[in-house]
Amino acid sequence: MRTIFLLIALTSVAHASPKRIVTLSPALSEMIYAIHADDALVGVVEFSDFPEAVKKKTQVGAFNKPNMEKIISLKPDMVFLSPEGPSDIRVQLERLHLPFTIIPMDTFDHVKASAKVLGDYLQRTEEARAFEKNWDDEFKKVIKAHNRVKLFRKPIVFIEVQNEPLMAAGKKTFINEMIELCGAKNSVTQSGYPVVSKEFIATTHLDHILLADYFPTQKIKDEALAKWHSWTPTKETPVHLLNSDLVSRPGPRLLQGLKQVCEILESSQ
Amino acid sequence: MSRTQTLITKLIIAFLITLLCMLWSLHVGTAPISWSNIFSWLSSLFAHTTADNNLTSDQNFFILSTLRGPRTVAAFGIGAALGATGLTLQTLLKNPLAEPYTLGLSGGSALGAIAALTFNLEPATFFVPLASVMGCVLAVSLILALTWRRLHYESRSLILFGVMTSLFFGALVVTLLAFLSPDKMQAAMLWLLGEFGTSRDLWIFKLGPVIFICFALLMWRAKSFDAMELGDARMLSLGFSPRQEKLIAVILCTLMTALAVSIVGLVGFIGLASPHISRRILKSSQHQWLLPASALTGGTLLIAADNLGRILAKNSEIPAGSISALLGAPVLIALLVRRHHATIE
Amino acid sequence: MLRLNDVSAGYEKPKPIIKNISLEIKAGEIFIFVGPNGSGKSTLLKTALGLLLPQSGSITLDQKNLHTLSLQERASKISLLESQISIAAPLTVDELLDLSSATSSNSLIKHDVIKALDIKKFLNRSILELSSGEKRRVLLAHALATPSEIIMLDEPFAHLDWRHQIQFVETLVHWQKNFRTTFVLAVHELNLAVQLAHRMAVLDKGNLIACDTPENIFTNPSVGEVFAFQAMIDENPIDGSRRLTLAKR
Repeated sequence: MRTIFLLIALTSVAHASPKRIVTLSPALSEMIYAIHADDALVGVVEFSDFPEAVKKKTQVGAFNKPNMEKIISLKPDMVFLSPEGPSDIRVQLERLHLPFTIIPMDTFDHVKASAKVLGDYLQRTEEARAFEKNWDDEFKKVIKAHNRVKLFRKPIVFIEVQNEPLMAAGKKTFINEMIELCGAKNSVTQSGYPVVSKEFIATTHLDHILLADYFPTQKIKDEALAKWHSWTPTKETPVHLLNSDLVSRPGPRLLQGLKQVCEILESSQ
Repeated sequence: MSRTQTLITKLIIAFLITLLCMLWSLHVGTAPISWSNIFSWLSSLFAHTTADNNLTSDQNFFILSTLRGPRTVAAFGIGAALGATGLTLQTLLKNPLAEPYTLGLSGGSALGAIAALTFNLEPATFFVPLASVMGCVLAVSLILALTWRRLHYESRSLILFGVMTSLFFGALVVTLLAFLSPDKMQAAMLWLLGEFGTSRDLWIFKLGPVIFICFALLMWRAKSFDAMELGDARMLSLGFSPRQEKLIAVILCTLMTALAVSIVGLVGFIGLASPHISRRILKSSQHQWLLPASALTGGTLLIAADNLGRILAKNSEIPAGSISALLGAPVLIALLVRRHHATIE
Repeated sequence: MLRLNDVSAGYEKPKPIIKNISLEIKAGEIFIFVGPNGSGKSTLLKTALGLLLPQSGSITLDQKNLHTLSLQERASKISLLESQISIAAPLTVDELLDLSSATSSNSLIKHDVIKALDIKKFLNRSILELSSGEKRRVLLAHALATPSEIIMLDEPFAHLDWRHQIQFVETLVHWQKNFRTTFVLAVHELNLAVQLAHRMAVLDKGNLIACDTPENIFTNPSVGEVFAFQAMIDENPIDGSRRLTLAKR
């Protein structure tokens, strides 16, 4: 009797109709691919662009204003979204009886945890665990590499995210976590992305300047570098270009960003 | 046909056009819903029957009932409110360029509503309209305090103080935005552009009756608004109190504008264009005809703007407020070119 | 019937435009105010209507204080057509006439005023398109169609050509005889005033200089000082109406 029940249970699980999910943030779409569950993904939000394959998925509208009709017609079993969007989206989803789960992606720990949440729901626990392990391993490597370097004092870093007007990455950002993990200190003490004045740059001692802007063309990239090099207060300061995708987008590629940042900071010792 | 018959016929035609526009609105959307589906949904509303157990039509009925239906009703209700308010303000200020926003009503409403939205006062369906009304009343009180004694005379000073107040509140709104976190600021900015398709569309079922009562009250005072065209002395001579009638008009406009703004944000030009279109079509200046005509015109225009906003952008939407602004600018220019204001010496 | 008791009024406290005016206007008479520009004629009419509150003194209508009457009562007793009305909306003449409560229910009066003011051809035209004289006639028609016991008109003859001025004088007389309407006018055209008025009042700088029949007014030396003229009233040899002759002082 018990065996029969077990068999039935196992078969139900094996034949459970594959889940259909919609993600309302590009970061969450990336995570789905990271745990190899993209066959369940039936709808993604605009500007989901990594990996390339995601561009072929059905789009459900903008991050700020997803198209509810589209989502309904996709008949999803679950909608995943991040807490950042307008709260009205959650009100709508609830009103329309669309099941949803909110997954925060604000910190490195969040990113790691999201793998588990998604893996559990989509029954990709193996892949999720592999992701987590890889995550932990890479982290350890970075920390170890950083520990090899003895520093008398922490290098002070300025992180630019926009040139006109001059905007920096402050505390409570990913890139800030990265430089701190690599043993540096942020010159900016405010949280978020404050606008700073050039006077501040001129009067603060900086060991490094990191450019985390999104540069659409090479030309603009070169101009940005030249600007810093030609300005007297920063003539001597090393200026490094970062790949903005790796350092500001929450998701699996943050690790690569972390590696890049640590390499840059270490190499100039 | 007598004049009255002609006017009634025109109103009926306007009403039918509005209905057609509403039907069009029910058809617009990414989910393909056929006309037969729409009509059977409509009949199910009236007959209280349930859907035939076809899964697709179930889903379509669901979309119509929860998304498109409320959105269409909201667009009509708000457009009508803006149209009627625009007409009343143009009469009140004796200025064909007056809008529901000329007295600073929009700025005040926006300030209140954004504050309520930002601080997430719950239940939103109560607090946002309330805050919007409070903000609107604040703005209007400011103007009235400055012009109270002058309300007795000509209304020219009202528009000046109104524009100044609206600039002031606009500046306050922008300042408030600067303190918001980026995502809250984005939500606020979308709202400022005048958007449908949020859960606020449903509020029309609670606020709509209030708007309707305000409209009914405007109709009740229609004769006094006609008299308002001739100035305070004539109003008194015809048995109306200039101060009282202007105050009633201002209060009703405040309420209607604030409630409309709380649902959809800032939508411009509907209040400006509707009265002018109505005058052209009806060839009458009597408010008992112009009020319903402006309301119908406003409703139709806003529904059309919202529909276009959904049709022109594939998966997302252009906010209705943007469309109405884009279409309204040429209308405004045409009006300025033909402006007609006579003074009898 | 309409009595002003020591009334001072103006647009700003405490600067009264008219000061300490006391006079009485009797039922059924045609009473005309004259005076130089800025003497306060318009202000006085607006105060009599109740549009301006007197800063001191009181106004009574049939022994009842003006401001205690209900709006409807007041409108049925007294009305005013201002000298300048700016209209922004393209009201048609017909719609304008319909604003008077009388016309919408009583088309006889409407017909009468249309005939009397010679505006039949304008009925469906927008008032904004008419010349200033035509507009004035339309507004006068509107004013006459409003059923108040006292009808006040500020500068009714402005912009009217000679023919229409005479026509309107006849209309006023006819109206007063048939409907027992009391007319209170403020005019510049002294010769017309003299023909029309039962009694006149002269205002200067907000003060009431004289209040009397036209003959007595123009022989009053203070009046002569106000206007800086010498005046004589006799009979027009053509039709026997009162004729005013003026000469520089």
